[in-house]
Amino acid sequence: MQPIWNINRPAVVMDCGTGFSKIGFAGNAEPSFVIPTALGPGATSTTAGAAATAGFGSRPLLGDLDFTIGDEALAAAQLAAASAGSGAVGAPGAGGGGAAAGALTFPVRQGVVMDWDAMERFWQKCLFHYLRVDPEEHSVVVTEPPLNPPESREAMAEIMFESFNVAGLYVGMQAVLALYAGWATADRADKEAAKAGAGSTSAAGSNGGGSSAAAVTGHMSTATAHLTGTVVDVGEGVAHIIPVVDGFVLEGAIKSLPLAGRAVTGVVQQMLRERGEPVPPEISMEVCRRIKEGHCYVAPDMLREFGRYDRDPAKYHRALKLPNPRTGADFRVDLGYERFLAPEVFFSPGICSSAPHGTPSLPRAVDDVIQACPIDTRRALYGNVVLSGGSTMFKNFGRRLAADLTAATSRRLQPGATAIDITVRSHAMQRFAVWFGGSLVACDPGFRAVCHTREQYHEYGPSICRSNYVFQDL
Amino acid sequence: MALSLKPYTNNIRVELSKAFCIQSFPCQNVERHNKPEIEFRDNPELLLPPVTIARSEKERCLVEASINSVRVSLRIGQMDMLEEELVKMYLRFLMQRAETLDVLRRVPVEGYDVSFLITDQHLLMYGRQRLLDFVVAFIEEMDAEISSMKLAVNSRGRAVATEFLRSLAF
Repeated sequence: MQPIWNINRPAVVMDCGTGFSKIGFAGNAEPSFVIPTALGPGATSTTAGAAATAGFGSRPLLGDLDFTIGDEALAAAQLAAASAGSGAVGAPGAGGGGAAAGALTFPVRQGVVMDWDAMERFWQKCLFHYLRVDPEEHSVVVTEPPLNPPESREAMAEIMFESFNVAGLYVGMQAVLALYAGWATADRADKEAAKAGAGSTSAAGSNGGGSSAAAVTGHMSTATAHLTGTVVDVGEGVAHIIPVVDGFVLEGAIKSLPLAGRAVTGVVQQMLRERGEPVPPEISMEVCRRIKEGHCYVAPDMLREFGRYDRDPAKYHRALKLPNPRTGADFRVDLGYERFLAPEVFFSPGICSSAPHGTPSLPRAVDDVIQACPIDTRRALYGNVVLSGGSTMFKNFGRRLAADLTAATSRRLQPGATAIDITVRSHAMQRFAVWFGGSLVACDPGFRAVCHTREQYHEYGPSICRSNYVFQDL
Repeated sequence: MALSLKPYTNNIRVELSKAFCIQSFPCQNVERHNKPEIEFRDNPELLLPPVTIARSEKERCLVEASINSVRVSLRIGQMDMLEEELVKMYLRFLMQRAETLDVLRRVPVEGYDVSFLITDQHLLMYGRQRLLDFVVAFIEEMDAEISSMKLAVNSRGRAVATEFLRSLAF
């Protein structure tokens, strides 16, 4: 029997979120592909008449393979919309018969998979076209959001084992994987202290920085004792705050906020529109997203930042010249306050019109979550706040969150009590923290014990995947 | 193929309607237990001699009856390795979900592909006519499904091979 993990057959890690899917191989520090989680129309719907390329349309048998995912899907959808709009002479069958993929499908909404057929096809393309693996020889690590129903896990298991016949499956909780990643990339000093504290005698032979996954595997067996922390996972659609104690998620205390990447982009868009910047409406979302990623940052203090901008406009205001793919002409956009006001939605949700009235700010929500946890865990939770997700990549995000949290907790302190030690971990792998955690998990020698194998599935059925254990600390 | 199907299923129907004369029979050996006697086989006087209806060498149906339960085992006709694999996978999928299909047995009897265990409770719940129709329909549909799956696999393989070679052409 093939060992579950060896150097030639690494596990495949697929973290499919609402916005982007991170796919790659275990043992790597970065995912091989980061593609939008979208399915789009295939070749026939976009090219008019009998296409020069493979001509899937003339082969109705292969019609169900005729779709694209990721960036290609977005491009194909744009192309299809363009050709339909300009009234091109399309093949009559292409419009109606292009499978059901006339437009873009997003199988994952709010982190939870809504459309399993689409998800299966998405995974099919990921495994066979992007990663180019034979799933029979590899284990697969997939991730699930907090509060995922067990039926969802069973559906995942069914698709993986029945359709792809994978060798093994592990469904990881996103929060726990993010904690692994945070722990693994912590400073050497922290790790040394933690190891000494746990009484471990393993030699400190690993390299610092934690960029090599193999270097930290030896320490993973003591990891469960340190799997305590609050994960702040801010993605595209929704932000989750998840407290984890000793590897177990305290599900009753999880909080979700509608403040995430999309809200920030929305604020940028709104402010640009109010000022009357000449952004063409059809690409305004894309332009605002790029502005958000390239030029936005978190200010330590909103009011002082306004002052700084007014005093020295030349230093802070920026002018961008962006091409318009439609008309070919360039347009000029001036950036001002939105550079720091857009990420400010996390800390003052009143700015954002889409957030419902009374949405707490992110530091306030983290505070509420930790206060909802058992009292003996709270100091540990404050001491290990881990950031994960693309929308936490703003400059100074971690520092501002730590500052606001410290302010909130010190206000409540009784005189004479020890101050609460708040650490917000910001690390190099933040953007792919969950994926990186999955990669580490699959490299751990204890992975074999917790991974569900094909034989187990054939024997017991999809119900084996209803529970997912983190490693037992021996 | 279709010619031999009708007499085969008719015979099965006849045998099954004979076998479905079952009633609730509490266990003789253990107080307050009510077990399907065909599975336990403690008391030979409660079992009827088993009947095999064979359509061909490969395709058979075994009907074992007892006083309160009937076990129907089917061996589906498989001509080549592809059909064998398809039947195996299809039935494995069904048998894994045997709880939803009340009358299906989780593991087939030795030498057969699929088994049903029908007790007097099932007869009360579903009705004898429906159960008869179910078994016969199952056999017919299995035949149809396996042949259509085989066709699909073959034509898919042909299409894929054509595409592959076409992409290699200049």
